[in-house]
Amino acid sequence: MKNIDRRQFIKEMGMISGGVLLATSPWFSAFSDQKKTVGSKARIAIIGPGSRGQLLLSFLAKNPKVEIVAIADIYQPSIDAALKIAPKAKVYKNYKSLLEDKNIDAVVISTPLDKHYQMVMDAFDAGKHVFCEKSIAYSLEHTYTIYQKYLSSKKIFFVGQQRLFDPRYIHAIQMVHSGEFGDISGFRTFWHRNNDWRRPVPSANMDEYINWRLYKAHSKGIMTELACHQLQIGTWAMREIPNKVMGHGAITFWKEKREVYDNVSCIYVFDNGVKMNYDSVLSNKFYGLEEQILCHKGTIEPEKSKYYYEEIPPAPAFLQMVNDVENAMFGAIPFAGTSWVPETANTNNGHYLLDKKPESDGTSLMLEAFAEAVITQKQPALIAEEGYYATALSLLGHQAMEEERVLIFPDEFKLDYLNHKKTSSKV
Amino acid sequence: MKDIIISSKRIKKELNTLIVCFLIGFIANVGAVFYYKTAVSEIFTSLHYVLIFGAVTYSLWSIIKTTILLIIKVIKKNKADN
Ligand SMILES: NC(=O)c1ccc[n+]([C@@H]2O[C@H](COP(=O)([O-])OP(=O)(O)OC[C@H]3O[C@@H](n4cnc5c(N)ncnc54)[C@H](O)[C@@H]3O)[C@@H](O)[C@H]2O)c1
Repeated sequence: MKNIDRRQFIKEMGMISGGVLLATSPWFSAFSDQKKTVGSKARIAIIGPGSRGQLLLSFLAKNPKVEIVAIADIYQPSIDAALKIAPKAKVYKNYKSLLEDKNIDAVVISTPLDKHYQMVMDAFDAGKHVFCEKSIAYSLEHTYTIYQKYLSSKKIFFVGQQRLFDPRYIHAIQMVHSGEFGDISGFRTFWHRNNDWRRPVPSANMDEYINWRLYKAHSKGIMTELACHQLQIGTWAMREIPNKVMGHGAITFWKEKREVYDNVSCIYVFDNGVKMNYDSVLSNKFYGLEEQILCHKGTIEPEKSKYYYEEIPPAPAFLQMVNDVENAMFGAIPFAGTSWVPETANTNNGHYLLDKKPESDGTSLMLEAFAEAVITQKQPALIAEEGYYATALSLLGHQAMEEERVLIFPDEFKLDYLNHKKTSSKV
Repeated sequence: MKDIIISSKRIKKELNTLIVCFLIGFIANVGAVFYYKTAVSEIFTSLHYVLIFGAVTYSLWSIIKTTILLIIKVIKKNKADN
């Protein structure tokens, strides 16, 4: 597979196919003024350039429409690593001082989950546009408050849900929405790993700081760190929010110094009864990660970049005949052995979603879209809402597991979006 | 060493046998296409299976024929010795 670059991708999928891209992924409207913005720069700062932040920084550094003005972190190794990528960036030890910097248009927030809320709220208060890494916040209340703050601020708000910009996923959703695969019957989403998810620490007292993902005070573990990306595929494909969730979580294998589950399973139920299963086991990696979209006429596995039709063409008649004759003659005899008819004739190898390999998983494209939006000051459609519901569903799933009960999506946290649209009351 | 002479009549006979083997395969394929209701184009796209079938059938036929001839020869020789 050859690589596909961004320009080529947008051209091939969107502009050429007469707006199909915008119908499935309205947030690509961010690129509609990209010719006019040539020569302009979005002045961006990053708060928390740790592991993820440095990756984001490396993409931003390559974008001619971005000037990396400053970084803020309280951990020297992160600052040192970030300065290698953006040597001209001003360093702040306190993010609040960074927010006072008038040379900054927008901030990228890539700190641990529990820090997001205050930082995002402060950033909007300081008049900055915000890109917040997923998940948006530690609680549903905070997530909702942030969303309301974004609405009232009239600033740009992106959430780090890069699948929304991943060519494989966009193509998959386009195919689902086109009706090619018939009705959606269900989703099987999973992320399996076989490691303890622990990073090495310079000293034991730094464990909670470095491995914040494993501590309840800072993270909700698998749901906010992994599931968040995957649950979003369900709402994107269904164009609907599941209103019911149940599940069970446990610590089954990695028991040492871990407060969050290493084994979870949740069922999200859409109003028509279609279910989205999510499971994650951190002590077996055989199946890896995938979001399988199961439809009446086919199955899509976007992560593998493949799709499969339910009805596969039958083997050639000649082979069927040989097989039948062979079965009739030797079928009942145990030593008949395997047929010379190739097995592959009947296995479903599927087709590739794209004939070229995408350059990245959507992260760089998402950051380019953010820079475009910051320059044009136009919020791309639905991106904040998609981010909101991805976080909300992961938090709700976590809550369902903690409380061991079936939860219904709370009315007070519904947005005016998809099936949660507030219908105006009849007079 | 004695030269083996294959007469043109023999070659013609063997070629005819080979053609008959391929024809059996071809007819079987046409029959299968209609029986299993697959695409008519398979009459041509499955020709490689027909060729393999023809070659295998011809080989099997040759083995059987040679074996029978050898047995007959042995029996005849035994009779002559007696
Ligand atoms: N979109 C994705 O695929 C993806 C992948 C990985 C991580 N993430 C998200 O990115 C965020 C960061 O994850 P990470 O793996 O980079 O974590 P990390 O621990 O490597 O980095 C966090 C950084 O924040 C800094 N920090 C902590 N408190 C701070 C404060 N008060 N002020 C300034 N800086 C502070 C830390 O020193 C560190 O440098 C998380 O929200 C995570 O969920 C997203």
